Formats: sequence, C-alpha cells, structure tokens
Amino acid sequence: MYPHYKTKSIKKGVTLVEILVASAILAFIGGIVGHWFFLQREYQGRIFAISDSQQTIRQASWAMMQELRTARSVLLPRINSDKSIRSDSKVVFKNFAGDIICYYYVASTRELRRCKVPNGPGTPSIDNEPVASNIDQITFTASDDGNRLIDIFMEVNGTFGLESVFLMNE
Amino acid sequence: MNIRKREDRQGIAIVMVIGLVAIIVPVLYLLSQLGTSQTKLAFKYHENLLTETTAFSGSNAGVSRLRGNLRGYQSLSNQLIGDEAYSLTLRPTGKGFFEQDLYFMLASSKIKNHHYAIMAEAEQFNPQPSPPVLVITRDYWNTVEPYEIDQAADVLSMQNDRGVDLLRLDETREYEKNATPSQYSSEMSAKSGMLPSELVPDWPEIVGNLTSEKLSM
Repeated sequence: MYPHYKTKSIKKGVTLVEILVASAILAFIGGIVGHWFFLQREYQGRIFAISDSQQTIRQASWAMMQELRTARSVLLPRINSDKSIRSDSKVVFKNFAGDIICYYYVASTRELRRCKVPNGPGTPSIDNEPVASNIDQITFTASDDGNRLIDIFMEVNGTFGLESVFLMNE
Repeated sequence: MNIRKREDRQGIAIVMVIGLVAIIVPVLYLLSQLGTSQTKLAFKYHENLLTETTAFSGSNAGVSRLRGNLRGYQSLSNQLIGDEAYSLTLRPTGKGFFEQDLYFMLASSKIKNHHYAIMAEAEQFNPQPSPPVLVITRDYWNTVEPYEIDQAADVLSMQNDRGVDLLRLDETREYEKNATPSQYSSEMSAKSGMLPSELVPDWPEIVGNLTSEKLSM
C-alpha cells in the first residue's frame, strides 16, 4: 500500500561499509596530521630549549668572565711543562682582591659552582646557588705560558659556547 | 528508480562530508598551532630584545653619568627608562697594581617572568686627569669605545671610594708578605679538608703555585 514509504525507511542512514570507509579516511588523515603536529611541537620545543641553553651559557660565561678578567693570575689549569695546552673541568685563580676563586663542574648534579678560599685566615665558602645548572660539560683551557689567557668551553643541551678571557691585571 | 539513485548518492555525500571534515578540521588546527607557536617564539624574542635593550639603556645611563662627571653616581638604582623600571648598581672596585682603576656596572631588569643581568664595564686609567684619563667601556658584544674624563673632581671622588675589594687586597697582600713560604704553604694546605671534593685532588698543585708566587716584600 505504501511501497515508497517502506523503501525509503530502509534506505535511510549509512551503511557499515560507508562508516568503515569514513573511519579509514579519518584515521589516515588523523595519522598524517598527528605526525605533523608532533613534529611541529618537537621543533618548537627544540627552539625554546636552544634559546634557554644559550641564555644559560651567556649568563654563566659572563659571571666567570667578569671575575676572571680582573683576576691576578690563573692557578689552574696551567700549560704543561712541554708548553702544550691543558684543559680541566675547573678553573682556579687569584681574584682582584687576592683571594682564591674556584669555578668547578659537579658532574652528579650537572651544575657549575663557585667556591671562594680566603687567601689568609678563614674557611672556604661555597656559593649557595650554582652559577649555572643543566650543564653537560665545561672545559677551561690554558694556552699561554703567562697564565693570563683562559678559554671557556660549555655545552648545554647540545648548544655550545666558547669564550676567551684575558686577565688584565698583574 | 530515480529515488533509489538519489538515495545512493546521499550515502556517498555523507561519506564525502565526513571525509572533508576529517581533513579540514585537523588542517585548520595544525595551521592554528603553527601560527601560535611562531607567534609565541616571536614574542619570546621580542621580550628578550626589549629586556636587553632596557638593561643596556641602564648601563649606558650609568656610563653617561660617569662621563658627565656627575657626583653621587652610586644612587642610580630604581629608575625608569620609558615605562620600564630598572635597577643599576655602580660599584667602584678600586685601584690595581699599575695605577689602574676599575669600575663595574651591573644593570638588571625584569619584564614579566624573564630576568636578565647584563654586564658592562668601564676602566679608568690613572694617574692624572690631565692629560685626560681614558675610560673604556665594553658591552656584551665587547664593543670597545674610548672616552676621556678630564675633570679632577670626578677622578678624585672615584679614588676616594675605592671600595672593599681594594681594602681586601691590602689584607691578602699583607698576609702573604708576613708568612714564611713553609708557613703559608701549610696554612693553605690545611684548607684542603674544607674544600669541595672536586677540588681536593688538585689542591696540592694550586698551593704549590700559590707558594712559589707568594709575595715576599
């Protein structure tokens, strides 16, 4: 009596095949977009990390360079007896006021720390706060026999920094 | 027959719509994320630049005062450059072995949650304001620029405020002079037990260098 109505009610909606096709397309596109999105996030994070690492290197370098530049003499490292360069993970020098200052790397905490040893009565004191954190490696290199030139090499999360300091005072 | 064909196309249309939505929505989301991240990055660099510029302005203000021979240069703290507050400390550190005076300026500024400390330094060489005394400043990029101070009042005020570093230098020099090499060596070696473990292995070499270069008179 109502063949048209009956047919229409059966045909309404989507078939299982159509849903499966749509799901497959959605999954495919979602996978590609998700991968792009992941790469983009990774790239963004990498750029921020590099920026932060450069900031860490710059601040640490400046803190040390400022004090080294006015230091009296470098006590460690010094070039070897055969005049070859020598590197160390610490630098020890006599500062402007004559006291002994040590910048040293603590591998267990990946920190660069500063210690002051009085050149006279008194006990050594370590600064409460590290000079820099998240340092992967730091190397101080002596390359002149006058003990007045120090190269500072630092690595922070794959970012490198190299500075040279010449001591101005005698 | 026609109705059946139209209903077949209806199914395909739904699939097409779902497919288009599946493509367009994530693409739009991706584009928005790309834009957002680039904007964030640009804003971060902008803040870095603004902060460093502010800090350098603080340094330059201090240098200008030094050059302008203004008295009371120590009270440069907590001033404004434009809308940004900054603090500046000018710390004279005194006189070196070769009649050399060194002055340091530390300018720090803070914008939102970023904090930077930018150093600049000025060196002033004695002995006399006449001929003019040279002041050299270096900024972060080690740009060197000369300047002359030719007024006695400024130099004298700086010399009178030599700072604690120079006083401490007198103490350390006296200590070295008054101690015999063996006494000096043993006293410095005794500090080994109070040093961080990273320094202990090299301490004998350091004490050896200190002792060999100890002031004797």
